[in-house]
Amino acid sequence: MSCRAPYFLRRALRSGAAWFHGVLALLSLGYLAGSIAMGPPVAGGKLTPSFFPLLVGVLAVLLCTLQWWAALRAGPPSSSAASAQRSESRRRWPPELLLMLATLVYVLSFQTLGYGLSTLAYVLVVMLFFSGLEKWPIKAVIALAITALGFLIFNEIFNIRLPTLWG
Amino acid sequence: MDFMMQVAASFGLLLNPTVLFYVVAGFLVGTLFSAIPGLTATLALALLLPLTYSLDVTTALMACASIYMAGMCGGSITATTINIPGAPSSMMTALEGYPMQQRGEGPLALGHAAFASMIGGVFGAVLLVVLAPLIADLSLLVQTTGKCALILFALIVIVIAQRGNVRRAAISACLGLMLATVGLDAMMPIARFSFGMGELAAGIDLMPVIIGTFAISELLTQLAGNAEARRIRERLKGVARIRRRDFIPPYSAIRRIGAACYLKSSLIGYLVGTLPGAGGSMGGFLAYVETVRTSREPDSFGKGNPQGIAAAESANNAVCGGALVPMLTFGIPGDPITAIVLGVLVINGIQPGPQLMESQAGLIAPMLASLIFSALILIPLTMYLLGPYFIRIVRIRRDVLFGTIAMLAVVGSYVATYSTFQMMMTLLLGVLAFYLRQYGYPVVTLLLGFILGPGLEEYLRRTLTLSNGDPSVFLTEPDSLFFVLLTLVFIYFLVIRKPVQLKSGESPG
Repeated sequence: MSCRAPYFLRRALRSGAAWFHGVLALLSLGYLAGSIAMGPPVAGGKLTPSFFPLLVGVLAVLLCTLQWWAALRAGPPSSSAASAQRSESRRRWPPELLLMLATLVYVLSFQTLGYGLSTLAYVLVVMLFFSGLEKWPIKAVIALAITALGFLIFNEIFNIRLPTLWG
Repeated sequence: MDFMMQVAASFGLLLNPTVLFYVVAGFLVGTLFSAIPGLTATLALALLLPLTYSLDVTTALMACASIYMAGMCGGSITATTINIPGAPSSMMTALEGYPMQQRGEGPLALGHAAFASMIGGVFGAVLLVVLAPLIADLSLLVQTTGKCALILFALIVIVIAQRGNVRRAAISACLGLMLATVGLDAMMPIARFSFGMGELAAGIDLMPVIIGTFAISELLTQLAGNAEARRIRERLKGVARIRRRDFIPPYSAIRRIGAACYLKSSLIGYLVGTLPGAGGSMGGFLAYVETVRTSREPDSFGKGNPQGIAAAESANNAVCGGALVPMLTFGIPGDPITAIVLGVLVINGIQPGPQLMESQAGLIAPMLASLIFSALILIPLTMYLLGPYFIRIVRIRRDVLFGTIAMLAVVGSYVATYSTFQMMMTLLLGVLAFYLRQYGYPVVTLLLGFILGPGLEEYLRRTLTLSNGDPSVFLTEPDSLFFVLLTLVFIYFLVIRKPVQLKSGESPG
């Protein structure tokens, strides 16, 4: 017996928007579940801390589900938009995703490597994302200048102590 | 009258070189950010926010005011020269400015834009100085139930103002409200949604929300649309060199536009500014439509009529004064910029609300003085002195610009608590905001939901506790009934009644 997904689910899998709306609906559902777990909204004639989250959670679940349903009904994007989307998805590592990862690495290494080293590397990576690898030594010098400018602004002018490599 | 005297006396602060430096630097940064398509003055303010921890609060507020004013007029540069508004508020300017540019009158169009911005900016700021204390006195009459209805009114209007996108705007606002409930409950010592993490028990700070939604998401969005931005930069290279004397509009042209056009548009801009979620683009649009409607030569619009530029630019700059009214008198921001200004107050331990004008007049007066100074002096001066170099400045290398923005945004989010947790929150919220924007969700409603959420919850719970859970109290208390009726009026005009239609291809932002 073939185990085919319902038609509307197959349509949903072809639309990135439906995926995103679905994720938001799940997120809202999780929030609502968390609100319910906090206890009853009214206790001893008084409103408890779960009252407002319950209200917001119900509203969010309702709206997100409607939005998701609307995306499912709309189906996948038109053929030209779909082909653009396919070519986009063929790029396994879109630059914005790489920038998210680079920022994550920067945040994680900020305390360990210190401001100077981590910021220099991060700024250089951001610059390379925006303008490509050509003339990278010049870009490295500019990145160094931007890092120095940041140090001047935060550490020297505004007296904010930034982490260093050796504590 | 006392407050007006305080504002007048605050001009003396501008004689302090440090204060003047921050006001002028803020104005230049605001102009640059609003002139570059895709970037906004909101981003400039978001990047400034971390610095306000170390900066004197008066100076910080004055710098915020100058960035705000610059943000409303800087967009006219690329709107006129390459038909791409640097900021949404200059959208209508492009309709008249670009045709003027095509017939070789681009600098004159920019001169008209600067002059109208000056008139509108001063008009809005002066009206704010005159009316804000009166509105603040009236706001003291609003009780708990009324405050709840007022915040609901603001949230609903901000959501329905996102025409054609209301459901997404509502979801975005709900996400903001959800984020606002993380941490200790305001009325009982119970941690909510903290998942056992100490940092989350203290709640999510405003800083990562602002920097994440406006700086990190912008960085990611700009990278995603890098190819298009490169094409815009190439187009800017083709713009002819501009001479300084070409900027000054002749007196005859100003007379032809007429004082009535400047004043009426400024008043429209000011009134629109007081509404939550409306903003400079809506102000400019309505003033432009009104000018076309009442013009003797309506057919001349869209073909390079300076009157259209005057209407749009005087209105969008007058919005600055209007938008500060609800923030200063009720503590309710109507747009992202006033939300960030509110953030500056909160960071410095100042509670915005009806008492603010009375208890913190010493802080608010210099900010309004800076608003007037920016409109009256900095707008025309910047246009005259830097006008010929604008195109070169706007063509700044994108890799250098975004490398600097990335550094300021991520390190700036570290400043609040000296912890990488804030940086991580900034990144997470930035990624969320990026995907929200990718799928058509307005992030402004997320920010305002986050800011208005705690107040809404507190007043709602108080109201329902005092009324023993009876919601009809919203209809029996006169102050809340007023805001409920006002909400219904706005729903009628913005949702039920068909809004003003634009020509094809135009949109109010």
